[in-house]
Order: sequence, then structure tokens, then C-alpha cells
Amino acid sequence: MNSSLWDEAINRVLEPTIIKTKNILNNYKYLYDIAEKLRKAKEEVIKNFDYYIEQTIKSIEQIGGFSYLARDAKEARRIVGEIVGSGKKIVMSKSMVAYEIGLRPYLISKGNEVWETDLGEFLIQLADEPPSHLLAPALHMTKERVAKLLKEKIDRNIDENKSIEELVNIVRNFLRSKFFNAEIGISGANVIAADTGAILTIENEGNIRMTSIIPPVNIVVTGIDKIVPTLEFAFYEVMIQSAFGTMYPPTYVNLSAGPSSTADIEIKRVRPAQGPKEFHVVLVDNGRSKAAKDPILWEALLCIRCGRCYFHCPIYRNIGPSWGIPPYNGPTGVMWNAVIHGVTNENVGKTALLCAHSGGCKEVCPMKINIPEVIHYIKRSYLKMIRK
Amino acid sequence: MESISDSWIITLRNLIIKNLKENMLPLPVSKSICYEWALDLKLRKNCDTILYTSCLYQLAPYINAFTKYIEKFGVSKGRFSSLVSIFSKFSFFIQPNKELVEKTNKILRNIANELSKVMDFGYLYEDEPYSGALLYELGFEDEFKEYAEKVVELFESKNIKKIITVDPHTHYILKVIYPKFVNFNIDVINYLEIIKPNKKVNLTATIHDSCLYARFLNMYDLPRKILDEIGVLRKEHDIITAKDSGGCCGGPLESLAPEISRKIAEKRIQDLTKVSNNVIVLCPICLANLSRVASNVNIIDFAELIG
Repeated sequence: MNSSLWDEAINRVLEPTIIKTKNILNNYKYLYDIAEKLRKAKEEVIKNFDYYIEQTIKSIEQIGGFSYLARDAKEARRIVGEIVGSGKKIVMSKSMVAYEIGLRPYLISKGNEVWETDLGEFLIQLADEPPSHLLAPALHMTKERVAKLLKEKIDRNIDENKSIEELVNIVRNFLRSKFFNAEIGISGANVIAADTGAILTIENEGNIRMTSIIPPVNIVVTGIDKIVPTLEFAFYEVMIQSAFGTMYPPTYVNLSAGPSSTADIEIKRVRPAQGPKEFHVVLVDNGRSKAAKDPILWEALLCIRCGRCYFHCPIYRNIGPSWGIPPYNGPTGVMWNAVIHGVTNENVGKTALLCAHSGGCKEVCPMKINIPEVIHYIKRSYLKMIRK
Repeated sequence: MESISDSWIITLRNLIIKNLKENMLPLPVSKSICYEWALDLKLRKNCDTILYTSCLYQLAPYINAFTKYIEKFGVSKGRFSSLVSIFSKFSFFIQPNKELVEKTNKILRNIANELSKVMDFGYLYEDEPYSGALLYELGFEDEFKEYAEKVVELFESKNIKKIITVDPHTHYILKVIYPKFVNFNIDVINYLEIIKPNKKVNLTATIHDSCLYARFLNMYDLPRKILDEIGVLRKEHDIITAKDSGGCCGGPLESLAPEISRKIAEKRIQDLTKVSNNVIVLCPICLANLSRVASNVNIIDFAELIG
């Protein structure tokens, strides 16, 4: 994208975002203790992935869901593709893992109608662009750009001078019918509790709740790194991710543990009631279990995707979203692309070479990941390879 | 996004290594530029405690001059054969900014003078080697290790027991990285931890922190404490000068992605000048990279204030 457009967009959001997160952390001091406990719990899972994946799969089945483990992106697409079939109307809430495995274009290619329902993700779907931030995929678009885009793609009568409130309302109205007509809702997970199979998501928009509740089938697509040992830690995760991701408390915390049911007539359990009748969880590996065994890269798996490191990185601030391989960019994205594509992948190596080790990322990481050290490792692994 | 050329980074590595082998400096400059600042100070050469510059301040003006060529010939686009020629006739092509040369020499003299008030130390003059930090920072660890072994050998042959560093790159590499790669038992201390300046400075200024001091060596507060003691009126900003969001000068990318490096430096200067037109730096790389884009801004090295 045009560099001056990026500068304009980032300048508008940088300072308020940094200050807001700092205020949250100052006001709710218990968050640091919780973050420390969460890191330990995540370490436990990463060191014993096989055990916790198996426990998660069993727990999901016990609560009446269907669970699947996909080794790579292709397998994940195939699994979801088989559940979905073709000719369906689908709504998706924003999921980085769904983007990672190329799910939306795959489902469209199978003859389905697919709509992203997170506002930012909806905008990048319309623009056919990669996301610019983990939590704010359309961070690179100014309101003027959004108005122009909606005018082109949704309604020719949209006035390009509309306010942000009006623009949001246009999308709200457009997406209403998509939710109610959808046959399948595909959502992600901020965290999964191995002991109960419960999936937790946080949001402000309400689109995840609608995606996971209104259509008769809910498919959750997520990475195995999102597993924590218990529901207690799952709640810790959503608190930490929302606080460090600048929205505390989050407007909604959604917990899904199985298909909807009722036992109100003669205590007989009947599915569904008002929510979905089917609940599927696709756990995606795609490089994660391999990374877990790497003595340095494993730390990347601790990332809870709060996206805070982006704003404290001089490279991301200056280069923008193109520093990475979609959907992962920014400091954590350098690590995450190594998890998915391998430490010696050329594009991964080149993004690592651009790190100036300012260290801002590690200062603000809630999981205290030594991000510069991991990036340095990717850099040296890549250089070792090209020197041969 | 400006992409880094594999061939350029390998070429750069080869040029640096060749040079380190020849004169233990990363660039083909005359060794005399490293110690001319100390000629009239007549520091002892045989002392087990040394002031160690790693020639980094002295190289800064040359790095700046070379970066101009890197920008001109566009390494990111793969047209770097001209750069190789420049490197081979370095002293012919590279004309460092004289003011910057004088400035860096003065910085080192100030540090030496201030240290001499509180302790005894020597200086290796023509025998002083570069630390190898650049090889490590670029990611060439095997080469770094090999070179670091030579540096340690040299220090040991001179019975060095304690090293006083004057810049963050050298301090970090000796204090944190050397022990991970080589058998290194020399005590490393930074001049900021030693000096006790008792002068008063009438200055209002902001600080551009060194990434390494502030976020890797736990030295964010120390320079501030000294500045307060000497009466500098510090202008801070919640984001621009905060420990976790201050950010980089762009210097580490100057040889790999000069356009990005320049953009970062320009943005940094833009931000800092919102706080003050006097900007205090603590690192020769910051000094060089910010100076090359600064106009109507005074870039002042911390050590200029203590002399």
C-alpha cells in the first residue's frame, strides 16, 4: 500500500491505543499476576501438546461436539469443506487461523456464499486486501478510504463524506440479513479449555456471538496453541488478551461448550434449542507442534495475539502491514510466520532481517516472550542457509 | 516493502570479515582515526583496566558517509557492484563529515577526562580492536564467535582485567553476548556507571534512548539520574521518550535497508522535536543516523554535557 496512506492511518491510532492500554494496566493491577499464571499454564500445554490435544478432543466429544485435528492447512480446509459442502450461505467471524489456512477463498471456490462479519475483516474482504493488524485488520484504512470502498462495493449512493458512525451503521444493516439467512457460522477461538472443551471468544462488536449462535451449524477453527489446561486459565486468557489488546472489559465474552439444547420438557435433553444443533471444532497444527520442539521458536506459541507489540515496534510503525506474510505481521508475525512456514523460509528470513531489535515488543508482551531473541534466531538460521 | 538482497548481505559480510582479518576493524579505514582523539592525552598502554571504545564513535562519521553511497546505489535493488568498488578504495571515496569527526573525538575526550577524575585506566591506542558487534547484530554468529575469540586473546595477552565501555553496542556485546560465545572472564563496566560529574549545565532537552541501554541493559533510569544531577531540564513524553514506546533511530538497518532506516530516523526526529529541539543521545549509531536527517535540531551526545 501507499506509504503516506499508512503513515496517516497509523498516526491517527498509535498514541490513543498506547495510552489506553497503559491506563487499563494501571487501573487493573491484578492483570499482571494473572498474566504470569497464564504463561505458566501455556508453557505446560506447549511442553505436553499431545496430551492436551487428546484431552481437548475428548472433552469436546463429551459435550456433544465433533472434534478434528488437522495436521496442515490443506487438511484443515478439507475437513471444513466436508462439513460445509457447497451452495451454502456462510458467515464468518474474524479468525486469523481461518485466514492462515486460506479458508474463505477455498469455501467460495466450492460454490458457497461467504461473508466476513467483523467490521475490519469485512472491509478487507471487500477490498481484497490482507489484514494490517491482528485485532484491527483494517487499521490501514482511514474513514475516507472506507467510505470510498463501501460506495464502490455496497451502495453507489453512499456519500464519501459520511461520519464513522454512519459508515458503521451501513455495514450493520448490510450484515443483518446475512446473519439470519446463514446456514453455517464459522468462528475462531481466543482460547480452548482442555478439561471442558469450552471455547471462549472476546469481542466488542457482537458479531462473534451472532455467528456462533444464529446459524444452525457452528464450526470453530483454531490453532492447537490456543489450548490451556482448564477453564480457569481460559478465563485468565480472555482477560489478559482483552486488556493488553486495548479493550477491558471486553463488551462480550462468549463461551461455547457444545450444541444448543434444552431439557425443559420432562428433563429430556433435546438438541437444538435456540442455538446451533451442530458444534464442530477443528484444531489446526500447521507447524505448531514442530515449533513446540524447537529450543527457541517454541516461545512464539505463548503469544495470545493481543497485538500490543505492533504499536511498540518502530519497523511496523514505519513499514506497516507489508512487514510479514498475511495474516501475520508485526513483531509477533515474524515469529508466527516462522512457526507456519519454517525458520529458513526465504520470506520469513527477509522479514526477520528487517528487525532493528529496538526491544519495545518484549517490554510490552503480556507473556514476556523474548521476541527480539526469537527473531534473531530466525535471522541467523536464514543467513546460515543462504551462506551455504 | 524494501526487500533485502541476499547477495548484498553476503557481500557485506565478506567485506566486513576481510577487513576484520586485516586490521580488526569492520571498515577499511586507517587505524589512526580510532586513536587520534587520545594522542595528546598520553594514556597508559599497559594498565589492566582499560577504556575501550571499540572504535565505534570514531567510525560513526565514516558509516554515515558510506551509507550515502548505499542509498545512492540501491542495495535493495541488487545494484551493489559499485559499492564493492567504493569499499576497496574506501579512503578515496569516503569523506567523513569533519564536524562529526571533531564531535566524536570530543565525546571520547570528555569521557576520558571525567573517568580520570575517579579512577586509573589505560587505553590500547593502535592495538584496540573492534568488538565484532556488527557481525552478531547482522546475524552472522559463527563468524562473530571466531572473531570474538581473537579479541579475547588480544585482551588476555595484555592482561586486561577490567574494561570500561563507552557505547551501548559494545557494552551489550561484551557484557551479555561474549560470555555466551567465548570464555570471557573480564569485568565489563560502562562509563555511565562510574562517572560523577559535578558541573552544572544550563540546558532544556529531551532524550532519545539507546535501545540497548534502555531495553536490554536496564539502563533507562541511569542517564536520567545523571542529567538531573547536572541540572539538565529533562523534557519527557508519555510515548515518545517512554521506555517501552520510545523506539529506534533506524541505525541498525542503515547498511541493509537504507530507505527504511532513513524513514525511521526522520519519523523519530519529527517525534522528538515535538518534545524539544535539543535531543540527547547516548550511542554513536543514534548520533550518526539521527544527525544525517536532522535539520534545525541539536543532536547532543550525553558525553558532550559532562566535559
